[in-house]
Amino acid sequence: MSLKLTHEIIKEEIQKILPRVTKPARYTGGEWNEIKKDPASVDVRFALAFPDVYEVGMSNLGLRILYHILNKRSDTACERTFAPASDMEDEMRRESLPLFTLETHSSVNSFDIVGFSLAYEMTYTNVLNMLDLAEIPVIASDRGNDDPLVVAGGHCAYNPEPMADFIDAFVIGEGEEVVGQLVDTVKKNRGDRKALLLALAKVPGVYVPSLYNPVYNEDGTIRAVEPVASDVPASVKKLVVADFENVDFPDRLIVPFIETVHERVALEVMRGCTRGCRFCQAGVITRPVREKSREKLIQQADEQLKWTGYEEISLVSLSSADYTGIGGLVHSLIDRYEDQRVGVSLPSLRADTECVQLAADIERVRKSGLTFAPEAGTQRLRDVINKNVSEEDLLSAVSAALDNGWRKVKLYFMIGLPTETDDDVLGIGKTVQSVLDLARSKKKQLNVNVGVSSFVPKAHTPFQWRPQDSLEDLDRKVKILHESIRWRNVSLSWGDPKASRIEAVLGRGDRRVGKALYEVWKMGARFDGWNDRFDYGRWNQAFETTGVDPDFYANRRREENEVFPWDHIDTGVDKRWLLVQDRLAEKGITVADCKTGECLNCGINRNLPGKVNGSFCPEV
Amino acid sequence: MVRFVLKFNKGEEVRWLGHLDLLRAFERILRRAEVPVTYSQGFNPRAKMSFASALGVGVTGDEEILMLQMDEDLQPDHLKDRLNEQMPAGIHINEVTRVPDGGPKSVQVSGSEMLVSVRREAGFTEGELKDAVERFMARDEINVFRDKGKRPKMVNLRPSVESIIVDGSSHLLMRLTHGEGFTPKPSEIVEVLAEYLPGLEVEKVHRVKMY
Repeated sequence: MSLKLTHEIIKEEIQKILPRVTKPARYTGGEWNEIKKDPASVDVRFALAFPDVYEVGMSNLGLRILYHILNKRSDTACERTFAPASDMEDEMRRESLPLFTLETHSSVNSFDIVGFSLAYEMTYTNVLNMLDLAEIPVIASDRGNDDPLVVAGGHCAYNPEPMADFIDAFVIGEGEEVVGQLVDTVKKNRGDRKALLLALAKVPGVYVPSLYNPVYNEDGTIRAVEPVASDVPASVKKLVVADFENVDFPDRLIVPFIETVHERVALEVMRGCTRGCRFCQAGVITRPVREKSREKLIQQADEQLKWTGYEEISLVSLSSADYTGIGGLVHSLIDRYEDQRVGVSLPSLRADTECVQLAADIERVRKSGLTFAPEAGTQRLRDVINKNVSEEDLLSAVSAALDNGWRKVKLYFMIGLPTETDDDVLGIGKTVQSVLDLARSKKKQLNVNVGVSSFVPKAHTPFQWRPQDSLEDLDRKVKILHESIRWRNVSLSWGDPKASRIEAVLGRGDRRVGKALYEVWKMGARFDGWNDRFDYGRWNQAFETTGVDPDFYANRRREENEVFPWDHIDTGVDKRWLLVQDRLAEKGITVADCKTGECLNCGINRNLPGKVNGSFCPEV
Repeated sequence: MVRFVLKFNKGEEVRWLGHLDLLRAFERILRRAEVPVTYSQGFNPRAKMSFASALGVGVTGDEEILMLQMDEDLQPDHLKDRLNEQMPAGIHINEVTRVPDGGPKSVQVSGSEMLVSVRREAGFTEGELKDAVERFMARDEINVFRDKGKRPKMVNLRPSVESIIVDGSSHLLMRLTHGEGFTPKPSEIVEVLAEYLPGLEVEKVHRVKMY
């Protein structure tokens, strides 16, 4: 057993380091509403680990929900830990200080469970690094009975394979439903890792990768991912909250001292999205769509405001503007809290006049800027991706924005979408031109920010069969774009296609990709999601050393009947349906939003066990 | 409209907060306490409060001063209790006084008394420290660079250092005058002292009081 430092010693050592690091308050905890329990008073200690810095992690709603739910149990203490920034990491390694939690400054390896939130692929190297800093064996098979159980959940867990070598168990689906069972199972199977893993594999919504063996075909594709024993389920179905209206939601949110990405009361108005954009993974894995009632949301807003003192309420979800009765909700919130000077914000807007009017009601005085996401530059390509927005929609939305006093809009696009031609890329510039022409015809000044990212095909989406554009193609398209958008009041920014390429490899990778991940971490990769830290050359070197071919994962057109590394993870949406959507995409045929139109038969209402309350799906 | 002067401490637990962090914490404390604080007009209404002097990251204080403006009157003790109920560990209000009608609109202080603990890898004696302080005080001009905006500016900090008393073997009690946009930092003073006692560095800074 490794020497575990006591929390008193760690606390003292941290104080010595803090004068030398930036933003020391990232590492001290003690915020309002932090929950600190005596470790001796609980049976299970759960360290929630977010693989990014404090300011990012503390803005994550999932983390806050789980913190609340776990700490509600009297037998469990849940504490937080985040990825230390590089200056802090250097100091910690120099002083041999292990990764610690903010609440009690305990070393993370003294916990029973360490749970990582996998929100995006580019944080994977941080997960490995945090395990190493915690003095927990990075490779799961090296862990012994005294080591914590390392679990991971979040959207990326839906293709767990690239992380399979490092994680003991993945939570598939909505954490609220699974964590309780996870804690109970750990309690019942102490000191016997093997028995614990086997018991966990039988818990609905839990995937234990070490109990599954991938078998490969000669061409390197997967023949099957087989369970090692007959009592291990062949596939793992996601769990969803059965009663979203009444699911436990935190009211006493931790109020960070230092400025975080989001500083506000978060109202989760709905889960899921039925718009059916074909590139969108979240829209598939979070089905079925469920909404909370206005009464419930107002009650939750009241409570959160009272306990936190925040001055802003944000309506969060994948597409809050699609919430039934959004206008009524927004207005009742504005009216209710106006005297308290509490503002309301709506992070995602649809490109239509109704939405702009709503935004205008919210931002009565200050007009910061409106964001629309047409995603593609031509109607043809928007039809391919099933983004049901027309140029007229966009123009009427911009027109309404101008009428309401906005002088700045942001437009988001993707390049490298399936079937894209250079004309589609040039269409982005043409769309921007129409927006500018509109402003000119109305004699209004308008600044346009154009944000462009490279398309990354994702697992469990209609485009999971599609190749990503080669780096050369993406670079060329960025160049075309750059040359076609040259107006004084338009600024163009784009994400690094190289980073998107790595994201594509990790997002649709199999278990073999883990070797490259381990290698690149060894070579020093951290914070790959940060432009200034991402090093493409290092990744390529790691691919070469480990014999992982990035083209195989990123740029290969996958066969219709190919077995995918994530096929044994069941989202409840039929793979067959995804394929049909991909075929419709090829022909440029759109489908309607199933919340308003007819059921598209994606399978979610047939495949999930039990009844999901508040779901918009028809009964089967 | 009523003004109150609050005296509070910034303790070890919140030592690493910067001034803006503390300001934001107070804004939320005021909201949670639901006290009738006055808000500014305009696009971005802010609670009307002003600190006598900002405390830097890593610095603690026993008697920090904040002035609050309220729309309605409140019993000072009642205000104190309501705010203290909402205080994170490490911040506590020790005294609340009502500013009489026609009283000052902001807190006027002219200087700070800082207790600075110092250390040196190679060690030092009290005599050596006293000697360094004497040599420091004997000078008329001690220029330091300050990053103000784009251009670093040279400032003479010596006139703002009223006195430095060597208190025990590793503590310095400094009386520092708050000047026009310039107050010397204890770390700057210790850096100069290190010219006479190489390797001397600040371990901790604590503001005892303002005067």
